[in-house]
Amino acid sequence: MMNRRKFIKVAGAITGAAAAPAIISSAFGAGHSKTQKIGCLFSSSGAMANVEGRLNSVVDMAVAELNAAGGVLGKTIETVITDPASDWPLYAQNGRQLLLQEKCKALFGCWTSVSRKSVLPVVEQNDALLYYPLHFEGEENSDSVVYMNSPPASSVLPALEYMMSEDGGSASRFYMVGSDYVWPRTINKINKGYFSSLGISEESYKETYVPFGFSNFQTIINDIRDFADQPGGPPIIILTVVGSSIPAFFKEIINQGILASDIPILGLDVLEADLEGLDTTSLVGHLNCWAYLQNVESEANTQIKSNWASFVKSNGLPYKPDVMIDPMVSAYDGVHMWAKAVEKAGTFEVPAVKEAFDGITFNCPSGYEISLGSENNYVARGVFIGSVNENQAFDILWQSDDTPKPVPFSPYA
Amino acid sequence: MTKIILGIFWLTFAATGVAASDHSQKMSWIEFKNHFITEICSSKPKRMKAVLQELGSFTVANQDSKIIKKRTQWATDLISGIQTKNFRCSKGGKTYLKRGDKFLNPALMVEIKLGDEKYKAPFLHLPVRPTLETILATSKLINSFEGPGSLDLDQLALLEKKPDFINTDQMAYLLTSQLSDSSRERLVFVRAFKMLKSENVDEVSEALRNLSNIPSRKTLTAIVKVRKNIDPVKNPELMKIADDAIAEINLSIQIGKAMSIVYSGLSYSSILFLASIGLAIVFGLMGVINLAQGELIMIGAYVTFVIQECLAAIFPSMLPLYLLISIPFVFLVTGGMGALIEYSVIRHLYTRPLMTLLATWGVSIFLINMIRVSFGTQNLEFYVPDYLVGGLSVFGDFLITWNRLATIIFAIVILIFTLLLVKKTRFGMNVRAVTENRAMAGAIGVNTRKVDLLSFAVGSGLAGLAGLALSTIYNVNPTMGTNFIVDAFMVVVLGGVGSIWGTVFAALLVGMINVAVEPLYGAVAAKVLVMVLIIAVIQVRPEGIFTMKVRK
Repeated sequence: MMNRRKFIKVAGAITGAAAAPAIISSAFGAGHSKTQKIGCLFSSSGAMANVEGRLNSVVDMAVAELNAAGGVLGKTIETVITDPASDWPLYAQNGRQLLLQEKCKALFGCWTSVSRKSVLPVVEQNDALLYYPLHFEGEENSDSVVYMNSPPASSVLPALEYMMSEDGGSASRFYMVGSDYVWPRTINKINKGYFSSLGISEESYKETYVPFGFSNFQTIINDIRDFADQPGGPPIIILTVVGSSIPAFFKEIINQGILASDIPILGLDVLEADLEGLDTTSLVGHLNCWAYLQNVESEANTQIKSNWASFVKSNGLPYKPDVMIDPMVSAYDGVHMWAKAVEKAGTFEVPAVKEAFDGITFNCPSGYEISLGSENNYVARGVFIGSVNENQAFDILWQSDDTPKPVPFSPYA
Repeated sequence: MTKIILGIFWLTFAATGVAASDHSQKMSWIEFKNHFITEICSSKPKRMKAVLQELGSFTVANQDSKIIKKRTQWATDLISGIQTKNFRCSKGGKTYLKRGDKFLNPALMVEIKLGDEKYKAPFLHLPVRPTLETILATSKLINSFEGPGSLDLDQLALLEKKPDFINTDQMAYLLTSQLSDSSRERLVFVRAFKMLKSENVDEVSEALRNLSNIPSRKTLTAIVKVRKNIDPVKNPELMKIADDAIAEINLSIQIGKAMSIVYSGLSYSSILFLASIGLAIVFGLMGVINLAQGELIMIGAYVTFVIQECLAAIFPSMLPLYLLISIPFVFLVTGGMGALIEYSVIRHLYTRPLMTLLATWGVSIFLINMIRVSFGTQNLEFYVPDYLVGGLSVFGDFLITWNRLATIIFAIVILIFTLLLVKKTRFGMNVRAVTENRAMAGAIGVNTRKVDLLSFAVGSGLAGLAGLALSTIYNVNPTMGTNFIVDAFMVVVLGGVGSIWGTVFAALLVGMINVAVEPLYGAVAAKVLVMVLIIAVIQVRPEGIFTMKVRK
């Protein structure tokens, strides 16, 4: 009887601890006046875990760099990591805890737009800052969020333009597949607005959505083959599924023997990390567009890649040491740009830090000098179009001359 | 200077393909090779496309079959090199082709020493790829053809997918060789797409007939396009041929579509069945709400991965068979793990189902994190044996994909195995006895403890086998199990607790509904509809569709 009771207690404790994903773990123990806390809101469990989870460690790494250089304003920075478990309302709950309980001055977090929308009111009400590292659908301009990545006007539309050009294969018919939430729906709305502005008829495109975490793409890909063989010119797939659906989609594409020369895919959320575990020889030629690609040749890029490899090794992290993806770089840039703004403001207080944003620049691993302007909180980034190669990475197909001025609100939406 | 002039010269001609290829015939082979290399190094899609077609024509422009072989060999080597980035150009116009660890002059195929220039692979823009792939495939066909008989089926299939990009000269040359009937028929079919555009009425009508032999959406589109240009007054016969062809193909497409839906439905059902059969035993027969069932599927996939890695290290020749070899290991490991979970956790909680739910949830999170720490979070890379890649085009656009077919067969085997186990063995009899009346079974001498332990182990082992089968279809990562647990419970509850046939039926029902609704209203609607259906069924038959007659 003793045993059983004891066992239940232990089992209960284990389940409780593991089941409540809102448990907050502090990286260096409770804070005192010599330190300043910042918070991380990236899921390390659930459907987004595979790609999103590693951003926690990236923030840790950037913070370690800051501390090694003497901290910020003489204070050691401390990261507080939470796990919102790919559960959107939990982002808001954890965010509130980070701000009110842990007294974090800045949050770094969110991958999907739905999670950002969930934290947004919390950040705004508490007059805090959220650094958001993903490229997204735009149509939002909160002064409490620093948008580290590009809105569609400077990422998706240049890529589409390329694919519709003669060099890109003169695409004239579009099959849009997305996960069913705000980012894919808004992106596709903008796409459709763009198409109709070019006089492309409604018969030339088709859109369909799948539930979050969906993986059985057999019928949808059958339907895509059917769509592709209809008259009207070369088809492409605009892929906006996210998380674990991406490799599942590619697996079925390989399985049905579809090559980039048959139907090219423009994967808007496809990253180097999504190709892990896939045999990319039959995926060569499919495209994506981001503000950073792993194959960029720049000093800062070599630096961050070697830093990450040794950080993964020395901390025994469960990530591939040689995979660096755009959101990782954006989160990394975010930490450094936050530190620069704080140094410029001379205080950690959020209103003063916001005042200091205008003119902050950072030498991004993408090889561009990225900057914040006075008009909005969008960071101006360079744009890349990448093409899948046989080494589970992307070759750079095209890149912008400089950093185009970000346009948060699309005229096509 | 001369080079630049030559370049400009070629640029003007490249746009008009015919003139260019006429001219290229006058070049010597070596001149042409150098010209080809410069054009490829330009990385300009238009010029690359044009010169690839010229290469195709040039390889078969000679009468001597030995020379043709030699040239197609060169074409095959170089195009493969371009594709694999072993062919590279420097800015100064130097090039090399890498073979093994040697660097060759690509025109002469002799070894060279490289300077310290920077070499880059010419970029393959999307529009170049189809031409590149078809010319390569045709060159390979010509090159590997050794006399009367059939052509390489893989390369033929490549051509069938991109008939618009073939080189007509190469095609004509291939058709002069002594081919088997089936190879000839397929080549004629490929050529027919080009012949449709011909001015000659006889050629068009022949092409129409050839096309309707292999019906698909693609042929239909091609024919419909041609039909628009046929003058019904001048060519009434041709019009009729086109109309007949369209009607025939339309019918085939419809049949193909129906078959395709049934096949997809079967395939999805078999996945659902595999994911839930373990649970049908554990939950259905034993009444244990095991939330760690999904993680046992995941562990099964990881064990398969470990076996694959071991085979690759120790017996690389056995690697293609790793899926079969893994079966006993996966069953034993996951079964053993199930037994361990039963013995350490569930055994104490049989009388408190809610506690089992919490405890098994804990176990599931423990397992996920254990795997995450030891293997990492990334998706695992599975070696996919050749016999599971691709598929067979059967009828219309209906494609039987091998790995899905394998899953269906595997599901049937597992079903038979489970049925035999439960219905025909002494162990199965004991399980059924305990399920019907635990106390009575115990009273007549059935060791209920042992039965519990073993059934849980078998249920877990079956989940592991599901993981093995699904590893070729889905992503394998620590959280993959969570995707299956909801579906599995849905199927088991809908089918009727404790009934294997109920599980089969429910898996088929859910699978078929999903697949039939998805193309019409989208995957989200399909999921909603299935949920509504389940709620409705549970309202009417709380114990599921198939229920066992048990004395209450």
